[in-house]
Amino acid sequence: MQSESTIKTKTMSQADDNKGLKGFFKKCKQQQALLWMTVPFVIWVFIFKYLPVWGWSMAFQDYKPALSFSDQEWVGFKHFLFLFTDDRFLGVLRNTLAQSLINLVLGFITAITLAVLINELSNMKFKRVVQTISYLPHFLSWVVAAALVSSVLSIEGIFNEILMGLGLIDKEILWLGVGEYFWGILGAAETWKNVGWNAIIYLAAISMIDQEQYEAAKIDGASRIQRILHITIPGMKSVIIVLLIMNIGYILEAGFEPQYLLGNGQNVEYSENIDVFVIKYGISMFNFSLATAAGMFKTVISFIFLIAANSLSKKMGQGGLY
Amino acid sequence: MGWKKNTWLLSLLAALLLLLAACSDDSEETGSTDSGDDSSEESSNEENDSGDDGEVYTYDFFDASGPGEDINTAETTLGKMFEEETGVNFDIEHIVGDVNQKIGTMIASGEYPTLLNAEQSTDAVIDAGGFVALNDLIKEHAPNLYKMYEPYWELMKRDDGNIYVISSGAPHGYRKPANLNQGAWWIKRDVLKELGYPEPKTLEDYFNIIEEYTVENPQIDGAETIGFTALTHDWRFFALSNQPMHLAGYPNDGGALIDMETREAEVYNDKEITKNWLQKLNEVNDKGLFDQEAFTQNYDEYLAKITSGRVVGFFDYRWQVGQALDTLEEDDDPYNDYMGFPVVFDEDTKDQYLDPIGFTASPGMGITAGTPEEDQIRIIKYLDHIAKEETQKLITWGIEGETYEVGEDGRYYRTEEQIDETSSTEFRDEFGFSYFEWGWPRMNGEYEDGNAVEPPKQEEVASLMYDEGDKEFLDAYEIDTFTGLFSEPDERPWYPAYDAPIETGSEAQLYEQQLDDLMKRKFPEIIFADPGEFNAQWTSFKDEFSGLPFAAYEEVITNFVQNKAALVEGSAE
Repeated sequence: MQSESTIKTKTMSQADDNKGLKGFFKKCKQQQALLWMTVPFVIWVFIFKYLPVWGWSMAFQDYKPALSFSDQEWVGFKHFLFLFTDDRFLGVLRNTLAQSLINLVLGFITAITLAVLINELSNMKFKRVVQTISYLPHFLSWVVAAALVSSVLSIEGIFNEILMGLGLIDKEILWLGVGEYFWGILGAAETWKNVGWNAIIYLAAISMIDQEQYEAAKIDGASRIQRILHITIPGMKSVIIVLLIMNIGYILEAGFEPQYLLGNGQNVEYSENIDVFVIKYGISMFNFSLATAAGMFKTVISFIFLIAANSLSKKMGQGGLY
Repeated sequence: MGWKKNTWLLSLLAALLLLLAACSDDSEETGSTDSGDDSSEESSNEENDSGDDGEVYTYDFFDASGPGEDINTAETTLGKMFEEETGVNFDIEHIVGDVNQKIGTMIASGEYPTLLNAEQSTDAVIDAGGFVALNDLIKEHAPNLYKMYEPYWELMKRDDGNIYVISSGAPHGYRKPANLNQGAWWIKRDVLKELGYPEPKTLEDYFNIIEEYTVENPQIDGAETIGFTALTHDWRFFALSNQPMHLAGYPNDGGALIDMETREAEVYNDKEITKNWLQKLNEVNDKGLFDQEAFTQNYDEYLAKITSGRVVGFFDYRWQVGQALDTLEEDDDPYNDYMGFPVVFDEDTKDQYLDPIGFTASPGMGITAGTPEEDQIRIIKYLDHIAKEETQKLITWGIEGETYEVGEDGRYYRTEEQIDETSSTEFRDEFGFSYFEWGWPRMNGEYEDGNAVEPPKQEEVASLMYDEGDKEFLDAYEIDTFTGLFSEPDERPWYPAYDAPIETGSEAQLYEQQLDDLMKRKFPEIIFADPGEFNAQWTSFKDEFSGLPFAAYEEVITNFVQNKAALVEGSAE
């Protein structure tokens, strides 16, 4: 997702730089290698992001896979009504937003902090080890990761043992059995799994910063902290903002696997988000129309958030995605 | 340099395009399955009978009934024999993960394996037109299959008069099973021995035994003793929610009790029996006997827990907990095994844990839409071959002289070595018992010569199957087999009611999902509540339950029960 976005922004900025048709073609020729590289992604976007939009028609039908398009029964907004009138939908929406916000905030802060910290390391060996260890969990499937999380948090798990040993609690707690803890557990698990991976792009941003700036600051007597605050962070700003806007666009995509795998009857009031709801009442019941309606709803909300974040960022003079 | 770069790039692009092209080719192929090639070849030598032209046809069979090793049938002894007879073999793929999701994806894409057992999603595949009608196919090409299923022909038909799936197990006579395969209240044998072989008849007795033992033995092998655990994971939640039905003396009819007289279905989740059951669990929890992880553990963790030997008791269906209990039985410790009891609410209730004779029309295997006719015929002939009585004996008893013997009076038996051999998983996999014994066309009960279809139901085999450890318990309870404590099943011509097709998108279907969600959310709250708050919790559950469309569900089940009972009784006359 991120690689796609950087390439897209690149092609856009190319187009911006060239005024006039002639200049545009000239630039195209110059950068044809880059353009060719985007072709597979344009095809990818078209096939996987534009063609499926046709399927939205399902949301307004009682879709039956066996029937042809003309034989489908049209039902108007029935599935949207079911979605919005279901008592649980508000709760589901709340969970989605809360989980997403926690992930967003935690994800950004931890990844930026880790990137800055890794950048400050001078021992290359140690740096590489830290980086490798921190991004390894990203490659674990959630099925495995969720099993790890649930065994760590089980009654006889290591987490309870440590807390008991430190005397912080006097009775084991079934962490996944208490709904209120779920958002925190999810946030921590997501952070553990993805912090190293997310830090990579910020490390790349940092490496683009001109080293002379640091040298100049050093001569001027800036301390290490001052150099981080006034050179590193501002140098990463554009990347941070682009990612922030894009992630806000995904605000309703709180993830599916960890909630589904770690969720259970006892924490369902905090774990069930839109995707889990759609699986239960859409796919599992073969109600593809409902699943489509929920998907449409998500897209519309994402669009609103994306545009709002973009214009807000522009208003604050930070430049947006477009 | 620049030129070099470009060629590199172009070749990369070319490779990518090739990849894409390969992908699209592939998807076309899966649409028609690999039999597409075969059918064109076949047309050139049409005169030959498909079995004799030496050509071997391979079809895909997706089996959603349970996990297992994916294998080609010809790699087993039985499958090889069938291949030689019919020229057909199957690549079996087993389900991994959630059935509904997997089958849902098949439906959405319209791409099916040639032969499909869709388990609980069978109705959805039929609604989506995923199966071909088998009526004429069977009548024309499969005389043996027709003969075996003829008594149930009308029951196999759907509302539109078509037969789409062939289920396993067409009853021909009844044999009481020697070993439990259905629901039971299990207690660790070690516990029974230590307490002097008590026999729990009521729920009260059962939990008294657990309490007595747990208090005296707070630890088993260094781990904390778990008094009572429960399986609640995902779709297996019924292992907890079905219990009131069994405790009240009903067999597993699913989500409703069927009145024996009026044959009306009634949901029981908000009735007194469920309240009593939950109240007991609430009380047990208060005493510290209920597994705190019962609602967070998944299926694997549950099985592991039972295999560890720390659990005193639990309720489950033998087939569902089989993996764990088989492992325990295979080791040398006869006391680290579990024995099942037919527990009921009060002593006067007649237990109904053993399945009544009943024909289950679904799930079963069906040929999917889009399969060319020649392939349909080849497959149905293969199934017909399996339906022959001698083949049936092959898939249940095996080969005479190797896996069973025939006595002078014509009775079949197995020697002790044969029993050992045929119960080892390795042998069963290699021979093909594991793959053919169930799921394919199969009869139940007795063969025409009076031998039991399933060897464990033959007295000659059953009596030899028990080892010293088993005999200690059989003697202590004065029974011959482990089903000895269980009552004979009453006649219930509609059984099982959970076989009722529930239409996709109907209120009844919505009820099932909403009920499942409600119970999963509320039952833990009720059970873990302070005993003083039990009534308040129960009332709040009952209130929410009353908002569910249960009447629609009851109507569907009642209609099914009455129709099926009428058909069964009609054909019996």
